[in-house]
Amino acid sequence: MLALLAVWLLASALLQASANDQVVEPPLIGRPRFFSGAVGTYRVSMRADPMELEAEDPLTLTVRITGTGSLDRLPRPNLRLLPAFEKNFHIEDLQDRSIPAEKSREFDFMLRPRTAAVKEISTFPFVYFKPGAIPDYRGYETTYAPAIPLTVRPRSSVKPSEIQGQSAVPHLPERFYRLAEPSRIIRSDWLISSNMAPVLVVVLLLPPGLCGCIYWVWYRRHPNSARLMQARRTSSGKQALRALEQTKGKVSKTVDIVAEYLRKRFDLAAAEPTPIETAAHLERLGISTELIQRIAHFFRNADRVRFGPDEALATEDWTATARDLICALEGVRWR
Amino acid sequence: MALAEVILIGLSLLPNGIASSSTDEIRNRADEAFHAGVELRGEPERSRPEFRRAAELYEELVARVIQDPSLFRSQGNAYLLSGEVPRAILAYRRGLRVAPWDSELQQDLAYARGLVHHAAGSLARQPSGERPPWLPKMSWDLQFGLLCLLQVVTCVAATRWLITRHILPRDLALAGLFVEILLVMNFACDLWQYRQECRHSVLVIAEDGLLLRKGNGISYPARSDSPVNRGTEALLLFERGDWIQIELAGGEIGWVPRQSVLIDESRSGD
Repeated sequence: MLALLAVWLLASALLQASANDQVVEPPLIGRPRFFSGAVGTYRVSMRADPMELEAEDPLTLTVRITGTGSLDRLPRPNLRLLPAFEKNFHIEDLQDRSIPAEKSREFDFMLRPRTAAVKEISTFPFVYFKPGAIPDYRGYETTYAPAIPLTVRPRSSVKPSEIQGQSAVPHLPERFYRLAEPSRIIRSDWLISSNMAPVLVVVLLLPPGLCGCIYWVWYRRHPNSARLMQARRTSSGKQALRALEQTKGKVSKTVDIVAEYLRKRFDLAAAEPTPIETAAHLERLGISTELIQRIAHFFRNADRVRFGPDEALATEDWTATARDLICALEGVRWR
Repeated sequence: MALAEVILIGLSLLPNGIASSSTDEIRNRADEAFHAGVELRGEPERSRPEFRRAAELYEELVARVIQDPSLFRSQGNAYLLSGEVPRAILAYRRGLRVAPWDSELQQDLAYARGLVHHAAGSLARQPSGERPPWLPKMSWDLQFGLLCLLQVVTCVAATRWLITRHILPRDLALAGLFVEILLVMNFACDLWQYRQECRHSVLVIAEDGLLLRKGNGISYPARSDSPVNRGTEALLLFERGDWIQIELAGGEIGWVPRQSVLIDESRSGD
């Protein structure tokens, strides 16, 4: 009986020893999201320095993890995964250290509060796995480091005397050592106020409006002059009128100029058109009958002068007649 | 009854009277402090506090909504003589908002800008002028008067040309039209600049080595390695907490801490 008890105790001790020698793999089932990877029994604490600071000034947070499990393989806690830390602080990792005598490991972080609204370093949860639980997934436990209150002040404004690198006064020109004379050049905003917009438009449109009226009155009173100006506008009319000034009253030259003008302006094909040909062509273009008759009459009279002894017609002012005809044709609107 | 009326009338005038006399008194004190600084110009340690005191008194006058360009110019000079270039630049800019065509303010501002140290390749460097140099600087009243005059001359010349078809009136009309276009462009430039200043406050950087960041906090990376130095001018775009978004002269936009800049709070709105 005693021998059986001794064998049983020895076997239990051997089994316990072998269990201690094995690396316990935490179960996947039921593993919390922020599991640190630590296996054993732990507690966690934090300390911060300084605890009174201005926004965005740095402070050092030390997270100390103390426990029975293996500390060397303990990964650095990732504070960025914790919303309360990520939202309130800019986080940088610093060094870590092991303290075997106290079975502890410390991790340093540099935190900078983002705004003066940050009131504390919130609680830090540390999730570890404690073997031996039945079922094993109930072995996940969480321990918390309590929050650390902070006093975060807004950043103070720069006083004029604190402006960095206050420059030495350079050797300034003499004008800077004199007080400024009162100035009268001050911007007045009446011009860009909304009330003035219609007035400005009227004022700016008045001169062109008046000049337009003046031109219209002149046009009505001097139609021939107006037509002459219009005729000078087209290149063929301009050329013809210019050429007429060189004819010195010669009939043949005048007729040639008018014929050339009709060719360029109205696509008259014939080199020396007869009155009938000219009239027919212009009639096809839809020019008024009265004007066609005037042109036909011009060519007939010109033929009489050139080819017949009609001295009466020879004295006529052919240049003026040709000019009037060209002006009349220039004023025509054709289909 | 008559005596009571006189007393009432006198009392109604009294606050204005007191205000104007205190304004004059402040102005006199400011001018005296400035002169005191000038007399001590050979001793910077003693003259700077005098100039600073004069500048602060001018600031008090500005706070009373006195929009005198000479006041801003004197204030800018006082700040410059006390070694505070950023505040001097801000004073000149405020003066130019009131009187954009004041050539002395423009010269003084150009001089103060020359004292600002810009990092190599920095976009913060102020352009030599926001407007083409060939565009003349004229008051809006003068521009409008010239425009009306040119309009008349151009229209008369054009009408004369239509009637007579002479070359001289045509050339005169074309020349008048060209100058009118220049005037309109000039006015458009001025108006655009005015609208910009109304929409966004002008500010001046007060610290050296400030980095422009991509967000409102030091956790955000810097936009470039080139810092901006004190005296750099910018426009205020947006505020968020203790950080502000600014636009530099070169168009670069970024965030800086609010306490690192001097903002012109007194800009006129639209």
